[in-house]
Amino acid sequence: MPHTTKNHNTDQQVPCARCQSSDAVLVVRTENLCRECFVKYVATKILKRLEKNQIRGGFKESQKTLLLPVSFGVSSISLLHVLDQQLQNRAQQGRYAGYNLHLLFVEQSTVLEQVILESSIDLLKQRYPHTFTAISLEDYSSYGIEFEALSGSKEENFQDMVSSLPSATSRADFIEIARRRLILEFAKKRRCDGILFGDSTTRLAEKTLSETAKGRGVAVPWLTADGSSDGISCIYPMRDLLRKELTAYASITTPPLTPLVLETATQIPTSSKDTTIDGLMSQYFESVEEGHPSIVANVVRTSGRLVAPSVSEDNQSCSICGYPVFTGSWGGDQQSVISSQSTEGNGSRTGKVLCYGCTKTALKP
Amino acid sequence: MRSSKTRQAWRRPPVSFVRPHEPLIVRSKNHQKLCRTCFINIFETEIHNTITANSLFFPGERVAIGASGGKDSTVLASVLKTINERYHYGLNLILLSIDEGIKGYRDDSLEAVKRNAVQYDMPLEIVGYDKLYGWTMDQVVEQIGKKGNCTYCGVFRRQALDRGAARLGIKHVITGHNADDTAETVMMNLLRGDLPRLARATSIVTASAASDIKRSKPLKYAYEKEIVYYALHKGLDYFTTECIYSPEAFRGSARTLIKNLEKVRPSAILDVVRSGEDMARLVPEEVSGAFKSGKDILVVEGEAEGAGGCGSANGRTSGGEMADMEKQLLENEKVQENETEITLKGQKHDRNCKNLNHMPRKLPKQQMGKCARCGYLSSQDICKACLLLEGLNKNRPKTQIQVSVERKTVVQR
Repeated sequence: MPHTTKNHNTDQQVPCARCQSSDAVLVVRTENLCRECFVKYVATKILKRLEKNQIRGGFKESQKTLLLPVSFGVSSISLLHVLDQQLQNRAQQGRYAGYNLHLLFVEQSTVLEQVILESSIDLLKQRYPHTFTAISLEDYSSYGIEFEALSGSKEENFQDMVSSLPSATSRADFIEIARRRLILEFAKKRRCDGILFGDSTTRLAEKTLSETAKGRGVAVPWLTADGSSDGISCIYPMRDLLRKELTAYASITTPPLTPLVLETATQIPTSSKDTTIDGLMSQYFESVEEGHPSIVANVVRTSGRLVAPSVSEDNQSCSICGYPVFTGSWGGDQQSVISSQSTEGNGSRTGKVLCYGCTKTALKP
Repeated sequence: MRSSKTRQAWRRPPVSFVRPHEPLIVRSKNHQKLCRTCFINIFETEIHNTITANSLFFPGERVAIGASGGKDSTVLASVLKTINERYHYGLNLILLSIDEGIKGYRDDSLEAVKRNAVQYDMPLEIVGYDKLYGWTMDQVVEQIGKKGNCTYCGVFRRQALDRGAARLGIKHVITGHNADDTAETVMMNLLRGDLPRLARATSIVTASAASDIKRSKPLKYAYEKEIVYYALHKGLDYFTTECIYSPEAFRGSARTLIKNLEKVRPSAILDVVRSGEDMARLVPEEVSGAFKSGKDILVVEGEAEGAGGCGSANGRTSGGEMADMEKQLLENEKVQENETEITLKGQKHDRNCKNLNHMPRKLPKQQMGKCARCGYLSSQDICKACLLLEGLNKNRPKTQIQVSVERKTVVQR
């Protein structure tokens, strides 16, 4: 029977639209769901995505090692919880699991004001006994990453490099790039078979518009679509779940995930100097998600249909972000401008190739 | 009735109180500080560069400027007149205005266009919706209400510009779309999930497969802010009022976003345009429904700016459009959830294949033909304008239809 009432908060209880036996506790995309059905809903969305990427629980294939970067945000913790449960269930039933997890935490306290307590890490290790590694953004050079185009030298203190950037937007952008590259290189070094990123629908939509705004629209397919990136398979199993759904999920599970989740309420910086494009997009989608959740999903579906350009063919890759560079002059860069320091494609100080977006991030205006 | 005195108030006096070489403007895209003279010079030179880099014109070409009387088209007319003379383009420039028939908006702005025609010594042609379609926008709104009338206006305007150009025997219409408009359109198409439009909205030239009238946007890389500066410092005579009827919610939402982005990083507007151009190259050809011929040129069906691309939303959103889309998307989701996916195990999950699976199943190549009623190019038997008219005319005594009269003149060209 189709549900008609949505007033789940009123006195009369609405039955769950799926099982019909329990009372609904929340509305998920027009459906009233009970606690159990909602937990199932979240798990199914994730596992379906994994299956689409040929990661199944069973089958006698060689076991895959999947890297799961944990940021202590609501998405990555929820992802970890769902997968951990699946692995546990299989183990209990004596069934073979097709994959194992390697958790990776990237320490970025030197450049971000985020505090991950030792106790959170301990709790995580205790609750989810998988291989766990913590690395720091400062370790970039030991993973063969260099930002020479930015620093002028092969090894420079990461903190100094970040603080040399011209704006809050550039700093946030660069930290994100460095984090991603570090994760990719780590996965390759440890011979992982793939990376499971925790980005929710909302986060992927944010990324799409925010990279577009930063002039790196060309990298959107790499950053949002399932597929091989830089030689390693990147999967976004949370792509069908909105952030608000995951927030609800984190408090509804037993035991709740909330003690593990770092509270990151989108704060609006007091000074406009501290506002970043990424932050602006988070705010924007927070409001869109509220009233128009399907539009958020639609953005992600749309960007997923773009075809990733190949780095090898006729495009070079950017020496900061690693994404393809479309060379050639561009009409928006006016050659007549007197003090133009950056011409497309070779904007760095060391003559290394930079993409348009990284030129904007790296160079002082 | 407004007196001509109030209209004169819109005229801005040339700024003369600034010392000649005092830096006056900090440019958004590169933080350059420029004095008034240098700014005007660089602004004009950049548009000249855009024109030459894209070979927009040929010597002796007759070009119609889509003139609304607003800042963008007035600046376009002024700059083109200047650089046409300075760089000897040899262009024959004509102002082409559309009279949508909106009292308190278009009638006033048309007065500005009429003054521009005198100031720039250019001939002026006005094409009215009333003559062309038998309906003014005021009448359309009276009938269908304030919601959704932008669709009518957009569809009608597109045809009207083409027909006006055809009447003048002109094959090239230029419009005043600026960088802010383009950036807005990129964001809007991402929000709407409109890949075909994402593929073509950023190109500087749009030509139609069946019509020989091409459109281009020489101000595509010019910041709205700088256009306003230019108009101010050149003391141009233009009209600033926005359309009084309802704006598109998506454009409004995108517009607010773009303006906020500009505050955080002033170069963001051009950066979005750049991203839009790059992403257009990533749209699979089956979707873009177009073949790419040469640099930055797309040959498309005759509607490049989208249904209601008048771009005057300015953040006032009714939200109706977004809510409608939300509803529709939800319904689609439901249908999809009821579908059972049947796939062969172990096959076809590689990347390329996945992309194909994601495409809507049927994407017929658009065949351009002529509208059976009016002869305007259309991918359907009957063009969109005639379809809309049919809906409108149903509730009207038949004697009032005047399209047929107009049609003759167009067909005979």
